[in-house]
Amino acid sequence: MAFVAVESAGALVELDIGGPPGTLARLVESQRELFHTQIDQLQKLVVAQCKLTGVNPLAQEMAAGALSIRIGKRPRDLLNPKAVKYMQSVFSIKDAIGKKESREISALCGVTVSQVREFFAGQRSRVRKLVRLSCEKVTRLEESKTSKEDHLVSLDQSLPVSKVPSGNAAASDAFVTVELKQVPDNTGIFGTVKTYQQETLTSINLVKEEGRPSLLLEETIPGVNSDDKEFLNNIFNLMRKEQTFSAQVKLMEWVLCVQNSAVLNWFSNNGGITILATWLSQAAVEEQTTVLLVILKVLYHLPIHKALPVHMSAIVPAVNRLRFYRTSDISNRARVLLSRWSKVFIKSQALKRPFVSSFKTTLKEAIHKQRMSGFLNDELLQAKLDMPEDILALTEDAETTKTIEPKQALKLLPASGADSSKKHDRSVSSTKSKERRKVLLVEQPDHRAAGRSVQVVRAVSANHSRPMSADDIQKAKLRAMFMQHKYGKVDPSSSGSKLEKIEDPKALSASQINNVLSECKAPQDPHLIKEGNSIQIVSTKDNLPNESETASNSNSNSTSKQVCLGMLNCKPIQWKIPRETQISSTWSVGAGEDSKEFDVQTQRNQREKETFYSCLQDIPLNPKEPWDREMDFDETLTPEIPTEQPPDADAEEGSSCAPIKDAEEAPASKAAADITCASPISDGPPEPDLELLAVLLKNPDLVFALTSNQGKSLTSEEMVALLDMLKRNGVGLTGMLNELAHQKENSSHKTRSQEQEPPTSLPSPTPPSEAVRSGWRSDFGAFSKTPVLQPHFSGNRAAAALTSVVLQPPPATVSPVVSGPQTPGLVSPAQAPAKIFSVPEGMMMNDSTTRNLPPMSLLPTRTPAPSPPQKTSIICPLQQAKVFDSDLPSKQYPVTKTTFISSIPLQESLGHSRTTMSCLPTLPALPHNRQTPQLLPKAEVSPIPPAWLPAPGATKVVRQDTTAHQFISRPNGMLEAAVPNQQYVPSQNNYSTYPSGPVSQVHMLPGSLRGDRNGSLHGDLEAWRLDGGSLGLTESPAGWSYNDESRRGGRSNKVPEWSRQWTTENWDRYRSGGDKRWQDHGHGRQR
Amino acid sequence: MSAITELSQETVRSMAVGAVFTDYAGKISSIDFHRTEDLLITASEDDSIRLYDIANAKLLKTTYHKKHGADRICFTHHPSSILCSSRYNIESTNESLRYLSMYDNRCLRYFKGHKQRVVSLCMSPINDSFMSGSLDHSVRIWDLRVNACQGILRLRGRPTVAYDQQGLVFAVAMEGGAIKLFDSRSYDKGPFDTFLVGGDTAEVCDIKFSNDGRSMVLTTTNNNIYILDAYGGDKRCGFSLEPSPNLTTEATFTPDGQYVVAGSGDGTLHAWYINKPNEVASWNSYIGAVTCLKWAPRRVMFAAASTALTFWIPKSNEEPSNGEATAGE
Repeated sequence: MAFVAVESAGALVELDIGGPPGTLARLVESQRELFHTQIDQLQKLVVAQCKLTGVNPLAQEMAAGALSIRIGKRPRDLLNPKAVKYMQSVFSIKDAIGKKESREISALCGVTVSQVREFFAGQRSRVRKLVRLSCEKVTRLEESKTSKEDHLVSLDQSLPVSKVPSGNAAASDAFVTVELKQVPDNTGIFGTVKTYQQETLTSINLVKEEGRPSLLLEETIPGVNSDDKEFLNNIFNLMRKEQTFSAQVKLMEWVLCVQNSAVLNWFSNNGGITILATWLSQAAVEEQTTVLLVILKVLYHLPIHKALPVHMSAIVPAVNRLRFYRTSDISNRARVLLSRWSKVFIKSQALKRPFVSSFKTTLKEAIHKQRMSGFLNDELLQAKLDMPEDILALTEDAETTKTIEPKQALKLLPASGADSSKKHDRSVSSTKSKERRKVLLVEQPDHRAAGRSVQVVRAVSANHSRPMSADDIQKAKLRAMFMQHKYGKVDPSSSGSKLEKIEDPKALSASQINNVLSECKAPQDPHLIKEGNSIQIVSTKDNLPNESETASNSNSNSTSKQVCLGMLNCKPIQWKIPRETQISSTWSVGAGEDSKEFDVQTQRNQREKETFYSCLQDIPLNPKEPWDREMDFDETLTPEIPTEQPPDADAEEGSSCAPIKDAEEAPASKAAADITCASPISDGPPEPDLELLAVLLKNPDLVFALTSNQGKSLTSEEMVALLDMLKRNGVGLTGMLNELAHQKENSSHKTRSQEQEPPTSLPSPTPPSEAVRSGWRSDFGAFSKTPVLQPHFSGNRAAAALTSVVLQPPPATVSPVVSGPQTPGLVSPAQAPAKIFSVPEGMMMNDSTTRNLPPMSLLPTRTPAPSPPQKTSIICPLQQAKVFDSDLPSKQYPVTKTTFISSIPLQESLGHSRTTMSCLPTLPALPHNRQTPQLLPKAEVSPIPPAWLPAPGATKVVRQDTTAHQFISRPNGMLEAAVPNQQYVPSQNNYSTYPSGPVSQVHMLPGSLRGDRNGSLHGDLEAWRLDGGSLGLTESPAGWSYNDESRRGGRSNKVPEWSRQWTTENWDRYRSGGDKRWQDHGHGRQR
Repeated sequence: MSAITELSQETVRSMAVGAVFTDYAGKISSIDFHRTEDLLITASEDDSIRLYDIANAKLLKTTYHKKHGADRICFTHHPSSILCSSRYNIESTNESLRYLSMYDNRCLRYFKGHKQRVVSLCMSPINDSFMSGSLDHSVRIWDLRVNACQGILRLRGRPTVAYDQQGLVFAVAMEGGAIKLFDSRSYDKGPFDTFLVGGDTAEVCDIKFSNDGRSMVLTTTNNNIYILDAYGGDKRCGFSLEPSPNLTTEATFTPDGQYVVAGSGDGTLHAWYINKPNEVASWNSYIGAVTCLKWAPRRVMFAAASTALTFWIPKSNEEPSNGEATAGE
């Protein structure tokens, strides 16, 4: 650093500021002369040395000795040029060197290690300065355009002294060029001299920058303002836009380049500070240390004491927070900044008035401001140039250097100049400050009025000359609360701020005055006294520093923590019951008129005891739980409300439910169907119920259906329910039955002319069956609730068979009634089966719900046939077969099975899947056709229809059950199989004149069909075929027994079993002896 | 006693703090007045629910809800039954809404369904339905008497709900400042009207209808206040206040529907006359930025809350009349 320059600068400062008072000017003049001569001498000496020897250690020593007195420990300009050159080259590569390197360099160039070190340090600082100056240049160029007093300084740099007097007129461009030159030119003493000059110039430049406003107010301000505002307008725009930290840093560096205090002032007052405050808080949050540093620098740079209180209140808390930042560097800076602000502010406050008074009307308010900024800058300068001060006041050298942070010195940041100045001040004029204390105390009231936040904060920190700690704040808050309770809120704060300001001015303003403006004091003091007299607010409390401090602290806190103190500030008015407001009745504002819960809760509260808690501790942590935890509702049922305007809100609610219902009904209805089958046996017919009778009479087919199911026992309740249902649905039934009749006709036609009518004609019945189904369904739904369970069936079945035998008579009684219409049909055996077929077909076409019907419809066909006598006769054996499933009848079956049936079903089953339906009806027809011939020859046959019907009826009941079960387990297709099954049964029974075997075969037929329908069963079929083949006839009985077991065990098993049995047998039959039958059958068909 | 039908500007201007309750250990998250009784209920972040007598400015009851916390709160029609939304354990218990009785400090019913915090809760003025809007982007309609949800409305953004004072219409605010109006009797048909306010980024955090049903006031999270014509959706006026970060604030109509009072993030309160939009008054709230602000439905009184609760009443120049009023009661 060029300390000479610093000195000159100091002189300049004095010159500048002391302009008005003559004594100061004289003093400065003399100092300057001294400097000039010294510099001249030095230069001559150095030049001479350089010319003579070039590198002369002794000369260096001497020069160092000569200079060190003034310059301090920087004899680097006495380094030999070679070393300088070398070090510069090194420096160009790296700006910092380690110990080892420095030692190497020192060895190489013959300089001391410390010299090397210092060279580098100096270079570094100079580079920084260069950068800064280049920035300044930009601003200065702006200025130079407008400011008329800019004198270009000649490049005659060899005589810096000459420039010192003209320091005010700084050569902006020249500096930079000189500096730029210097680096290359740095050869030998000249170079060093130039460096030195340069530094002098820079300092001068600084001086000029800051001094100019004060001296050339009138001229500079307008131009500067217009241009720099424009300039700064851009800054603002950019600053507001800027989001990234890097860009912020750039902008702030830009701001740092601005030296014009007016501009800076303008900048700070127009929102720059608030922006900086936000940046600062952001950077603090993001922990952007570098950004924080730059921001703090900028804040140093700005004439913050002129900032509006609003801005200050924004920035101070932010900086205050940084005091506790974890990076010590930043926290230190923040602290220093705060303390400096407080001091600066107070100083400026202290100085403000005197100057106003001294210049009074000659200067405008703007000028006054400039003046103030000038002072600030002077102070900045002082801060920067601590060393010169040290030189001037050597005694305090050590102290100041300690207090000032080295980094700040390095970077030329304005360290707290106050510190040093304060010390000067203390040393010089402590008594005066004491004197002035009173004065200032009196002078303060306007500050108090100005604002509690900004000034006070600063004042407080100044008071401590260290930042407030959390403890301080806390204590202060408490005290403030106490004070406020005691005295009200106004006085303490104001008085506090007063006191603190009093203390600081003592230091700061005095220092200024001592150093620079000794003359100014004279005007200042009287003025202050005058003002003080005029205002005179000195409370006794103010003398207690503690109180005042706390009060002020509390106020400063109140800005940040409004709530706490806001509450204190809030003095509730006397509570009165607020008036009621009438709400216009025309508005019909709701008040829970339709609330049901209101009554519920009212009632509940009447039941419950109100809970009170006598003290806070009694209040439980949680309320009591509900009496009963409710089940969670089904979220899926929550209706979704559309958010879009077009109301398409028709939720299809029913649709989803319907299928479910159906599904539920289906099994139940099947069960019901089973019941219906069995029902007539037990109760129906015997009980004379006229209504029912009427219904039954209307629907003979229904009666058949009922009576045919004799095999089953039902509880009377079930029967009654069933019959009731029948009664209710008499009409529907008739409709259904009509349909059935119709179908019968169709089918009978078909049966008669099977070949003529292809199977396709059959589908006709489907629609009517639909109707039927609907009619039935509802009732079955009702039935579904009655617990008709599988166990019931399985368990009953055997019994049912037995009972059926016993109960045979009742059907007989019924049959006469019913038989009337049907008998004609029965006459020709073919017709009867035809009827039977037709019905099932219709049913088969239908859905699962219709399953119930097929058995029903089938049954009647059987029932009409039997004539009482024959029944009994035939039934007995069959029943036996039934009852002893496996034993006698079973054996018979196999035999009969060998007959046609086996072949037929097989073909059918194998050939068709669904379409078997159509074929099946035809098939039964065939057997009948056959039957008649067969029956005739066999003599027994004449009563055949009646004869076989009852018997099979019994057997069939059981079968039906099984089929019914199978249906249940099967998909729709199974129905078809089942139906033919039963149909065949009668026909087979006809044949059963032989053995009863056909019955079993009949069963097999459906089984086969089923097997086909269910692809999965094929495997079973196959398997059984093998078995059947091996076992032969004997196998079948086993199969039957198995069947029974399976029935009891579970439905699912039955199906495969069925299929197995008869398939095997069928196959066997088919292969072995069934050919005839089959052929017959084929004939029938072909016919 | 004399009940007034219209508030004069002087009255509004003279409002001042009449009572302060500072014993809260946390922010007050919501407050609600009973529609007819002189009761106020508050829910605070300290998990307390407190019941006040607003005529006498007395704390009546305090209960704690440490398990669920207390977030949004709302009176039912019964003066001791309230609805409260939970702050904690919503995911584990699913008990995002509770029906509570202050009478015997019992939870009456849990309303499960919301998966996240409820940020808006309101009760139908006429019947037992109520609505809740949650951060799970759904609005649910409930009935006090059953715990099953009566309807769900899925939407985007933060939902805010409000019934009008007649109980005929309710409004749901969703993403982008869209306000949808539903017929409260046939809400399943979808909204019958949609208003848009404040642009795409607007997030309405509070809706209130005026008693006369003519206006609605919307407060956005960045503290812009819009006063809309409740029928046409036209913006009648808008005010912009200092936002308070991370806080939602409220604006409220006076019972006569002529003024709107709102809190600013800078700790001030402002009142506007909405018929000829101009600021009637502004006060220091004394409690910082207010989070809750509601005018009593049948009193010349409003309550503002942040971490403390304040009751504001008119400073009585007309001392005698007020005295009469008190005497009348």
